[in-house]
Amino acid sequence: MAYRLLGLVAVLLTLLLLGACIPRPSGEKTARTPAKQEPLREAVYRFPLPADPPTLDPAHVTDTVSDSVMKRLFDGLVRFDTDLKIVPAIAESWLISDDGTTYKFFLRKGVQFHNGREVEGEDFLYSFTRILDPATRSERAQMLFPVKGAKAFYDGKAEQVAGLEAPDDATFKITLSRPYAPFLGVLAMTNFCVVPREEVEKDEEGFAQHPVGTGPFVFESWERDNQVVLKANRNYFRASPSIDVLVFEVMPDENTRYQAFLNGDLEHTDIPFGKAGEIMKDPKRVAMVHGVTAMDMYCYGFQTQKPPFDNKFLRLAFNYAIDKQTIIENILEGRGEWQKTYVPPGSFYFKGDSGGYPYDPGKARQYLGKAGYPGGSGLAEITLNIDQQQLSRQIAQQVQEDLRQVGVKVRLEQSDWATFLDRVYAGEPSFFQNTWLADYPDPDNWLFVLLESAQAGAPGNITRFVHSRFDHYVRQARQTVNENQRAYLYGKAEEVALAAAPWLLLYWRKNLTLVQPYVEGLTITAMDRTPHLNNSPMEQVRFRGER
Amino acid sequence: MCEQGERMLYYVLKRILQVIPVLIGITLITFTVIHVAPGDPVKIMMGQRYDPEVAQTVRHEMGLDKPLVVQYLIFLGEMARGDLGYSYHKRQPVTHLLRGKFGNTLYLAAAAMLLAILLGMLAGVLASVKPQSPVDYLVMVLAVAGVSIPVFWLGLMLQLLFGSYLHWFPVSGMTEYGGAGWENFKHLVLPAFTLASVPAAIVARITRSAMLEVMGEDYIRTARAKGLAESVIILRHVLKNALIPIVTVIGNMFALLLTGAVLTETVFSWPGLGRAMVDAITQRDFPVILGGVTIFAVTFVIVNLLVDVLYAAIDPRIRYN
Repeated sequence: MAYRLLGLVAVLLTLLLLGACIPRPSGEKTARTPAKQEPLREAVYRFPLPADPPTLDPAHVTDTVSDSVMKRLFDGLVRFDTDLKIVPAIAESWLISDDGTTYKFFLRKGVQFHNGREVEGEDFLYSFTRILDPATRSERAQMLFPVKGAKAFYDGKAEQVAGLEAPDDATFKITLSRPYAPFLGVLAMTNFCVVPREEVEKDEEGFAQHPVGTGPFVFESWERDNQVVLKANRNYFRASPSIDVLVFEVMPDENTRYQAFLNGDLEHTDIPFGKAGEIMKDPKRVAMVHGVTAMDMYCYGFQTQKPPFDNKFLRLAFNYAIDKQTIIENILEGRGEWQKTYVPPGSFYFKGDSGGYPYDPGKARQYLGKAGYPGGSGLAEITLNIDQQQLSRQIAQQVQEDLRQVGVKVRLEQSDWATFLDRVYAGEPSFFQNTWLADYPDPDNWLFVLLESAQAGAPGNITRFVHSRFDHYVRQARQTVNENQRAYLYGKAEEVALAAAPWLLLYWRKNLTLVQPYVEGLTITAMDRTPHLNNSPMEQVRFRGER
Repeated sequence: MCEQGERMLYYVLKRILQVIPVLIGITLITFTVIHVAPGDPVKIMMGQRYDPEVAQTVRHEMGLDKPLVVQYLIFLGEMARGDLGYSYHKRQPVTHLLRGKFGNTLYLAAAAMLLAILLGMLAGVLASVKPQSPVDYLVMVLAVAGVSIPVFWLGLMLQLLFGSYLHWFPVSGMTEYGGAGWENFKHLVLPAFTLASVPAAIVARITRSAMLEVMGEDYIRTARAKGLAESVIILRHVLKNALIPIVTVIGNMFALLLTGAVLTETVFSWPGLGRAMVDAITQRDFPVILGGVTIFAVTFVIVNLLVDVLYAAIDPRIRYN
């Protein structure tokens, strides 16, 4: 009988070995050994990701985690520098016609894909056309609809996109159907990076698993939910990276990331919920904290087309009733900046002179009275819809308490992200969480995408805000080439938004990140979300001395 | 073949055939629930830049605009051919995606179960040899703690102690870049201990109570009267006869470990099946959810079948008709 027990243990041992030896599906190699075989110690940067990237194909990227890996693998025509200015990438220079409809890009010579082939104008023509091809199922095809003939091609009414041309190897030309001022910023998005046709056509679905780009790092391996390994591209057309290997470690739990950082297993990480206060009191750890206020909004939205929030005064009352500073200090532990404007600080044409809605319960009560609900009487209990995060719940509880102080009863309803999106896109909730990270640092990405009336619902304007004067300003700004004129128009649009209050302004997130003291050259930008730092140029990072 | 062997074979075949209606039932229920529940995979895929027209194209290309009955029949047809469909979110065949995950979970669960058996049985035997002694009390206190301490808390504490303070083991992931052998094996230690805590505690309690029951039997008194050494009595006579309830618990626990290691996998960033399923539910990745449920169902049926077959091997008095 004892032998049978031993047999059971032997079965488990076999399963243990079997589990260890089960072959990973092809295309998913575990990243091991090369470091051991090379004579010199490699400089390996271990980079945390909060989730496994869904894809590594630029045509399909819609999330910041995939974007983080792809930013290191691919290049587009233009890019954002660390100050978020649009600077050349593969395009060395460009000419924009006076009417703002024609963009002619002159490509750098000698830029190579990771497979060794040189990039030509034809490659951009292919990459852009591929996004517009319905068979590609690109989730971002609509962003190229301003290109002349793009919609006709997408609808199958044209054989090719009239507004895309590659007149020669070194030129790529885009013609828009009408002026679209933020277009250069759109082109800096990862979706519009160049991909090699021969690699994509070899295996379109497989391309997302083993991508080939032109970026500072070359794809090495990807074990899903565990690691993505990239190696330095020593032929990179800009400065070759100092670090040899970039290992993205998939770590979904923020506390685990923090422990791994303390254990010396990560070069940087985010600060877990509830730990910022403790870290800020420790001088050794404070020195490791880097980060800036990001173009990353956390506020609430009102369903402006349904009672009770079709009433502007009620929206203003809510805005004045909330003590944002308390939320920032007590709940966020300083990881936020009071949101006083609709356009984020650091954005083009940003005017920082708005006072926002300061905490003023007296004023909130006045507006409640104006709205027809003196002291909150007559106002039914409001449901605030938020996602399932602990932070969201704590903020909502503070908002609930502040509103109770002025006589408004609020009930909280938490749901998972999929359910939340479904309900908000359908316009069901009247009061809900509203978050947005900049795609490009242009006011258009906020005022037009999130508040223009034609974008109502799922395309971006989830508050369903409709205001003819506001629409006029942001539509005109989108088609205006003159920068001063655009600044003026956005200033006016901002004034309208502040007066109409379609959002309950709360805060801009600060992307505070713990960075090991030996890491140099890591610049965290206002378009980064931590810990995946999807915009920081990793090719500039180096290690100081021995780790 | 002897009569007992034939009966056993017939029994095993019957149980294997029972998998078919079980799978149809489970997948039908899962399919219905995921389609009735709110949340649209295309909205998740498109993120906060949803364009209804583009969404319609994506939905059509993915076959999500087909009637639900047709979608389910397509799934059943593919499943019959061993194809579990294509992940919306990860853009890979589900079998391809889940094969590696299942291997990872199997590796972790087998290590945890092995630890649980070794620690649990050792503790249970020690406690039962001298009931009501300090050792017994200690084992029972540890067993209650093992069952009661939340897995994520224990995981964090182990990370803090063995990772951040002592730097003995890595706190996350399954492999190390450039690592091999012992360096990668070190990644298994903390998650395996964490996952083993509950089954080890249960095995210890069951071993103790089963052993105490057997110790009261006449044949044990006879063995003692014959002057056999205590270690021989405990190992050959008591433990041997106490195995049936222990094996039952081990079988069920192992099936649960294979399917329910989500928290441990999340805390230790272990790329296993449980985590993949939670992600799939969050992302409304229907093919992965259905594929994962299919794997879970088959796993449960097979492990239960193995346990039943093992009964006959352990106790020849058990017959299958």
